Amino acid sequence: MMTGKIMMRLKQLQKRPYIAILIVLSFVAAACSSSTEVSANGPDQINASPEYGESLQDWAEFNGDDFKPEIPPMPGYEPIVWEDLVPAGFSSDEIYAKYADQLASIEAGSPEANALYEEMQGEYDGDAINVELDGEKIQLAGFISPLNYDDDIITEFLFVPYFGACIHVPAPPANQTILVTVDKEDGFTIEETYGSVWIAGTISATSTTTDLATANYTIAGDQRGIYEVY
Amino acid sequence: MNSKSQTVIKLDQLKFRWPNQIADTIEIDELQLEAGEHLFVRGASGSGKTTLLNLLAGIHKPTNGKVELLGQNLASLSVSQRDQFRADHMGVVFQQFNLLPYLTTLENVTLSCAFSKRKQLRASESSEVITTAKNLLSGLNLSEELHKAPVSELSVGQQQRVAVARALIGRPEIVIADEPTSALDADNRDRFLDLLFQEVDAQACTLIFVSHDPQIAKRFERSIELTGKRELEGVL
Amino acid sequence: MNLLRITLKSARFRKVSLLLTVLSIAISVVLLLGVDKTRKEAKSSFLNTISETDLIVGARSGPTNLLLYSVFHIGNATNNISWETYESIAAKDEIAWTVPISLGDSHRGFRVMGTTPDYFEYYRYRDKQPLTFDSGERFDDTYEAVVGSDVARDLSYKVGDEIIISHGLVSADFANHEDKPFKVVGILKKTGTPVDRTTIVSLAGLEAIHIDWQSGARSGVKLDAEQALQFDLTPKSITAFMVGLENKALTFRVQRDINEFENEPMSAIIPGATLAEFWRTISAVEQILLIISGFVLLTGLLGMLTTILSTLNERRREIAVLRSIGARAIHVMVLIMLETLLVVIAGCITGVAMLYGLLALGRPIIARRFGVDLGLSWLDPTQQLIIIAVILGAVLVGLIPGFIAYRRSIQDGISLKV
Repeated sequence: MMTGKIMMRLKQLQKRPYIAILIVLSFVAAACSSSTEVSANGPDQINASPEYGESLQDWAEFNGDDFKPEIPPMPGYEPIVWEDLVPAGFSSDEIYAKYADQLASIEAGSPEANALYEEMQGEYDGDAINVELDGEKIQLAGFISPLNYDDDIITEFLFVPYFGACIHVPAPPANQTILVTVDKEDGFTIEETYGSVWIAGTISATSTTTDLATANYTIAGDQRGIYEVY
Repeated sequence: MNSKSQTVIKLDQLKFRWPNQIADTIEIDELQLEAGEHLFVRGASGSGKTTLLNLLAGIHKPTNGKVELLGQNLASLSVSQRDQFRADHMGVVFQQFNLLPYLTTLENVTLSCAFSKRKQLRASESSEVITTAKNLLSGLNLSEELHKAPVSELSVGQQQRVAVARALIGRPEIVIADEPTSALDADNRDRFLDLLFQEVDAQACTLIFVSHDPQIAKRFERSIELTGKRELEGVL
Repeated sequence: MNLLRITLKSARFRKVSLLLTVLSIAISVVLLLGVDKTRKEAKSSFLNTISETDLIVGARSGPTNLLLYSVFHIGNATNNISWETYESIAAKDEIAWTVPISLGDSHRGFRVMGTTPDYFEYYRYRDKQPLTFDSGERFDDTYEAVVGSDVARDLSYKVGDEIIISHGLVSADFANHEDKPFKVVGILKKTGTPVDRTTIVSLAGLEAIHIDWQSGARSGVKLDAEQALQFDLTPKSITAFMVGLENKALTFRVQRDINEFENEPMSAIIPGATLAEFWRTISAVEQILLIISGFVLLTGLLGMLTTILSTLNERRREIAVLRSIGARAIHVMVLIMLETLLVVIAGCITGVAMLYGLLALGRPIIARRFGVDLGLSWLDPTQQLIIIAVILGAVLVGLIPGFIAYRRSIQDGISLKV
């Protein structure tokens, strides 16, 4: 009888609970280690978590050709990339192009090279702001550095182009750092910030009105999501 | 009241054999009981008394022949229909442990009506179910103060009488008693039988009484004996 | 008399073993919900400790360490920042405001913090809430102090009371600065942050206390409160300082500049980010706790199964009687499962009650030790789902004895095979 068999198996389990627990534990340990990997990447990322300083592009490339994350298209919102925040004439490509000949003629690592890089850095004005973007509805993907929490939801954060903008890489300049505010319902959990996210909202591009004229991008976010293969 | 001339129980060419047995446990060519008749079933243990009761109650289906109760062939009913038939038309008294220990006397008696609407209706015809129950208990010499008592406080004899009340409430047509006096001493046994017959006759039930005690047989006008093989019918 | 009433009366008859089962379910529920709740409350409370501060700067140290001692008052700084360095950083154009703080003293078990009155202006918590006063106001004078709500409650302080500060974190008598009492001028409203457990004085006040201490020990010269005031009470060093920027977009740049400051090694952290980093380390522990709770639930359910299976034996006569008076096999199954349902629901209710009891008791203790305030909010949707899962799990498990009883009652017939 079926019930007889069930009874027998239950009795066996009762006699040797330790074996049952060991088996289940080993399954769980296997599942757990792989799940911590996943959660370290953020809920839906499929590959290794971004390295410190990795830009969105680097990270996408690292994950292989098939990994082309996208922001779901939204009517009324224009997708932009981080370079768009730099006005014409100040982009790193343009500056590099200016110095390209000089760089070609000197030795890398020499004191002249270092001096040249310093000069280039000086040209690169992190405060140059692209005022054409002011008031536009845009979409952008990037990484989060949390600022303000409402309970455990991040409602205000700094948005940057590369991950863990902390120690090992140059600090993102002011025009590559956006202050974003969202409502609590649209906010992010900490776990979601371990990888890249996208936001959509109205960007305002102003300079601060103090003695120091610095770039000041802010976004009032309307929509948001995890930046992943869509 | 049950009609006196109706055939209540009819057994026809009844055979029953357990699987893997070579011989029949039950073999009854013919048995017919009218309303109000009392049948004594005698047999040593192992002779198939229990099997006969289970056949009558519709628990088992016969391997041959048929069991017809109140004109209904039990074999043509489904399992749950047979269960309901039993609930509606039968009352059962066992040798012991008839009652639910967590209910009072009255609650035990009225419990039959919880499982049979028919009994519920018939028990409430002239008065409330509780009153009918109380009357039955009083008729069985169980006084008022025992009615609300938990059954654990009753003696065995008292418990057996409560079982009779429960079997009779709702006026089922058939009452089956399986060795109800085996746990009683001689005096209690006789008194029990007096009361049993009194109440059974008041409702004109058909009584089937199983026992190994030949002393009791004298009080029955009909009896059969089960030998495990064939029955011997006698009319006393 | 219906099936439910029969179940209830029958269960009452066997209450001892059923109560034990109820208890084991209750304990599983307490663990499952307790872990989830504590985790969420702790996380929320933790993350809401500080808000609207762009950077916190201390002597070079790991970010977590700096966060813990400066904001949570857990642990200690190994070194201080010189006052000159602080002033030169504070003078940077990018910086809108700074609030210097000095830690290291204690008052009857609560930490003492020296700071400027700006602290009350700029410290925010829980989604930009400012500090508010229950009574009194911020300190003005050298020997004035503001206390947090827990300090006032535990030590029964009112505005106007005089208190003594001790050196170091041990309130031993030999370390008392007896000659310089402070007056309580303000009591803060409860915040649910470590501020509640802090006594706040001015930097000048802390200097005055230490003026006759050299390297941690009393020097030969003793100065009283009046005399101390004659000295320049600008601190020579501070433990850390909070920073607000003109433009938050400059956060990383300023942080980098401070970290690379040549004259003195310092660390600047972005509180929001460091809070997240720290919580991330803890989250692995969370997962383990949840898994263990899952196992405890499994054990509870198996225990329930064992008990209900054994009740099948106990109830054999009962079931036979019920069958004989007309109960069908399906009724028997329903009776068994109703009891399972009652047991698990009772277990859940008991568990939730026990949970809130434990939370209410544990709340002050945890606040004291970890600076984290466990709120007593009701169960959130995830936790309600946990309860439903427990009930469903038990019902599923209860199908086994239910089905066994069903089969048995068909086979047993109406006679009692005892």
